[in-house]
This record gives sequence, C-alpha cells and structure tokens, in this order.
Amino acid sequence: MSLDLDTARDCLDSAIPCTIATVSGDGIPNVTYVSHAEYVDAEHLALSFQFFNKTRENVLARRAALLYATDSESGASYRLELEYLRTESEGPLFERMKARLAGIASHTGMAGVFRLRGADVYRVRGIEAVAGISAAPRPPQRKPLAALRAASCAIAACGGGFDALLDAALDALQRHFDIHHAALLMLDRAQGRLYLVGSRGYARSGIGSEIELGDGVIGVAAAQNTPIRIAYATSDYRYVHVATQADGADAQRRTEIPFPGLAHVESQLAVPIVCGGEVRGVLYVECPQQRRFGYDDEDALITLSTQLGLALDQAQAAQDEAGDVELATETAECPAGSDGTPLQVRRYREDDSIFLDDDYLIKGVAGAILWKLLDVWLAEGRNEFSNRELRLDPSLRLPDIADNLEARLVLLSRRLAERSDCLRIEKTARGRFRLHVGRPVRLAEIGKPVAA
Amino acid sequence: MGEAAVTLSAAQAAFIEGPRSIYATSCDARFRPSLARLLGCIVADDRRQLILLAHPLQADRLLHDVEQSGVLAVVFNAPETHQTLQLKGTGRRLAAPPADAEALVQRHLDAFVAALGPRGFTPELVHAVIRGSPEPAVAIGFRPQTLFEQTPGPQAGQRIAGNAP
Repeated sequence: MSLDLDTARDCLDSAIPCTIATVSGDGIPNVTYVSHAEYVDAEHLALSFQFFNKTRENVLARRAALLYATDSESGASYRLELEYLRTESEGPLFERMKARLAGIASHTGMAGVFRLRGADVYRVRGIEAVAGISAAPRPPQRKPLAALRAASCAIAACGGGFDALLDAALDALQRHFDIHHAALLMLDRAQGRLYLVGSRGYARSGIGSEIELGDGVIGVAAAQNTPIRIAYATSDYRYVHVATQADGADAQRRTEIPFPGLAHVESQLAVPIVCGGEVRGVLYVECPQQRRFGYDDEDALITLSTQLGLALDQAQAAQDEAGDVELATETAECPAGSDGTPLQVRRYREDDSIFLDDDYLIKGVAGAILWKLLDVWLAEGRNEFSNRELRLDPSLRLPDIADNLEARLVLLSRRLAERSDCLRIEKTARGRFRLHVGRPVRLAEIGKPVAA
Repeated sequence: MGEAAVTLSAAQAAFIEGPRSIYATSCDARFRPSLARLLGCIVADDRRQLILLAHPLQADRLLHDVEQSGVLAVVFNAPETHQTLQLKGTGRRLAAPPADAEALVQRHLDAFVAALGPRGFTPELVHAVIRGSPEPAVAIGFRPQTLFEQTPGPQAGQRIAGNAP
C-alpha cells in the first residue's frame, strides 16, 4: 500500500523537529532543521519560511527537498520527498502557521527571533517509512472518533432548541472528549466581534464577553474561517485583560466583561462554526498541558462544530417559523401595582449598553432588545413577546440575514440570570418568550439618538 | 568541492562529539538528496577528519550516494540549547568501523536518555529514535571543508571559520 501524508501526520505535530535536505544549483547538499511543518491535506504540506537562507535558495533553484519527520510518541520516522509549489504570505494557512510558530518560538526561547514570512507549500511526491527503526508502542490514546460519535449523538438527541444545543455541545466536550475548559462564541458580523454565549470550567462564565475579529486564536479562527491551534504558551495569542484606568463618566460606564480563560494556558484550539459557507461562531477549548490537542482533535471538533452550526441554524429557523403564526397577546399586571424599590435601568444610546442600577448588564443588540421589552411592559403592561416582533422592529437594527436573534436572546437571558434578581426571560413556546419583572422599573435613557 | 579540509576548533570539536542529534545528507547523480539520522561521531585528534557512525538500514541510500558522489553535509544539534552547526565536505564509506564504535554508540544513546528523560522522553522512545534496530553501525570518513552557523535566527546559514590548518 502506498503511503500518503495522513500516515505521517502525527510526525508533523511532533516534539522532535523535522529536518530538511536540499541540494544547491552547483550540487552541494544542505541539511537543517525546520521550525514548523503543517499538514495541508493528504498530498500537501507547508513549511515555515522565516529566513532567507541556503535551504530557501536551494528550494527555489531546484524545487526539490527531502524531509525527515519523526513521531515523538512512537519514534516512527518517515522520509518525505517534496516538490515546492508556492509561498503563501496571507490567508488561512499562513495564519494557522503563524499561530503555531508563535507557540513554538515561545517554547524554544525564540520569541522575537521567529517571524513567519511565508508558508511554503509543497506537494508530497513520496513517503518512505525509514527502515531500521524499532518504533515503540504509542501510549494509550483517547479515541477522538469515538468521542465524536458520542458527542454527535448527544447533539442529535437534543430537542430543546438553541439554548439547549449550546449546553449539549459544551457538556459533550467534558464528558466525551475530556476537555474541561471550553467556550462557545457567536459572531456579530456587523460589529466585527464575537460574543460569548456559553462556557465550561471557569470560575466566572464570561457570558457576554467579547473578542474582536482577528484577536487571538478565536478572533483569527473566525476572521480566516480556519482552525487555529497552539501547542505551547505564547503571549502573542493570550487573552490578557488589563484593567484600564478610567475616570468620571467613563468609570461608571465600564462595559467590558472579562474573557473567562485560564490564567496559565499552554494548548489552545479554536474552530469556526460554519453554516451555509458563513462563519457563525467559534468553538474554543484550552488546557494547561502542552501539546494537548492534536490533528485528530482538530478533525473531531471541526466535525462537531459543523454539526452544531447546522443544528443551531435549524433551531433559529424553527423559532422564526413559529413566531410567524403566533403573535403575543397576553398582558401582565399593571406595573404601577408592583411593590419594592424601583430598579433603575439606564440605557446609553450610543452602544445600547444597559446598566441595572449601577451594574453593567449587556450592550449591543441584546441591550436594545431588553430596552424594548421593558419599554413595552411599562407602556402596555404586556410581558409576552414573539421573535417575529423583535425581528420586525427597526430600532433593534438586526441584520436581514443571519441575525442570530436566538443567540442574542440566549445571551440576554443568561446575563439576566447571572446579574439580576428581579428580571428574567423564560421561553414559553417556539418563537415566544415571557419577561418576568419582580420590581418596579424606572427607565433612563442617556445620550443622543443614533442616526438611522 | 575543491576546498581544503578545515581544522575544527577545540570548542567546535567538543560540541560535535556532544552527544548531539546528528543528520547527514548527500545526493545522487541527479542531485536528489538523501538524508539519514546518524548514531554518533568521532573527531580525529587533528580535528580535520570525523568518523560518522550510521545505521546500515536507516542510511542505506545515503551510504550509496556518498559512495557515488562523495559529497556530504552533516548537521549537529543540541536539543537542550538549540545550538546547531552544519559541516560540509567530502566523505567515503570506511571498510570497517573503529573497534570501539558500538561502545561509542551506546554511550551516545545513554547520554541522550539522561538528557531527554527530564523532558518527558522515555528510554524506549529514545532508543527507537536514536538507535533503532540492532544492526552494527557502519562508518563514513568525513573531511569537513566549510562550517556554518545553524542555530535558529537571522544568523543561521552564515559561514564560520574553523582554526587555521
């Protein structure tokens, strides 16, 4: 049986670096170490290009190279005959390698020395297992395919809609993949950022925290629609939150919710959640152990996130269809009859940030939704709402396509559950929900109206 | 490769004898490279010649190419510091390895086990990677002509001087 690159893929993730042999135009061989080799597909790999050196000169002259790769779990070694095709200096492959190289540089004391200039893409023309190697048995491994099967079944069996699907996916990571620190984020494309809707394994859930597109492993995974994986701690891709000094009005308006990541993280993996060709969110996992996530984990989580993306899309569509035929009709008691100290709800119009008394709750579309619900409740005494009326409300500025309304309702509902003892949102039927208000409410709007 | 043999400095010779992670490359008549990990290395007293110890199966094509082309490049790396040196020159297979070759290979292996154990590499793995199956080592006589700094960084690839002959 002829070998393809899948056979030797673990060697590219090895703690033992590859070496590369080339020959110059005048016939002099050259051998050196490779900082990082990246699997592209069963017939292609990419090598990190950092310096203009003899290897680069030889590759450009003859386009041929021989790579020696060793699996650091078993010792199995392969020689890969390569043909240079091209260099990519931007895009998903480049970003994947840049992230991997940052981890390797940090681990080997080469931070500041290694800088990826390009991803040199090669066709693998042949693979030969090195004779005379007595490979040691690989230590017992997790079986990502079995874990994927169990997780996939759990998602398929989940009948509880958008909210329950998020929980099912995060629970499956813990139960079946032995992954104990994870987060799910959805993309707000209009704002160019991702917001966290669920997590596991942290002291604070971090629900509502935001990551800019392109920031760290999560932001790059979403921006480039590609998995980003790092095997060693690197400050280049860490989510560091340094409290900024603010004074006066700004200090009262701090709206940042810290990302809940581990203080010390070695391994990180972010995979995009894609549906209909569009990135909808990111599944992020991390671990304090080095080299925790391999290519097999990457495969499994990409497949899982693909299924999750479809399921979330279907859950969203189901809510929309139900909302089309059932309009809200029930009314609540008149708020004037409620007892207790009034809850002051402030809204800053410039970003729809909402504060409950002095505590920041949420901003953006989720903030605008809560404001609308309370406004209706105070004006009409109505506490039953439909997805459809939210979607049709121009003040919420929901995008026409892929508005992720369900994700924003989940975000709002979860933030209220964490931050308020008197406001609550409860699903009542498909496409419908109820706002519970436990105290009188006073609304205060601050700032100029936003231009349409 | 018409250059004269270079004389290694004492520090270079000590570094090379390590033990180090060692790979050698040669090429055939069509300039296709061959590449193998080596089992060990001995620097001659005059520091102008090395004896490279290779596994006969792992280095099968390399040995063939050296026999045909006579050209050879060898890279020596210290995994713990990443210090790396590449030597280029001429080589030929020796009729027989030195009498103490197997003892040297074993010392080389033992040193690697001791060095890499704290970094999580088991003796079994080090044996598999460094030694492989137990065929006796074969020897290549190697005369380095040029030396290159190969430690990762922008200086990698720069030619460096040995001692004057």
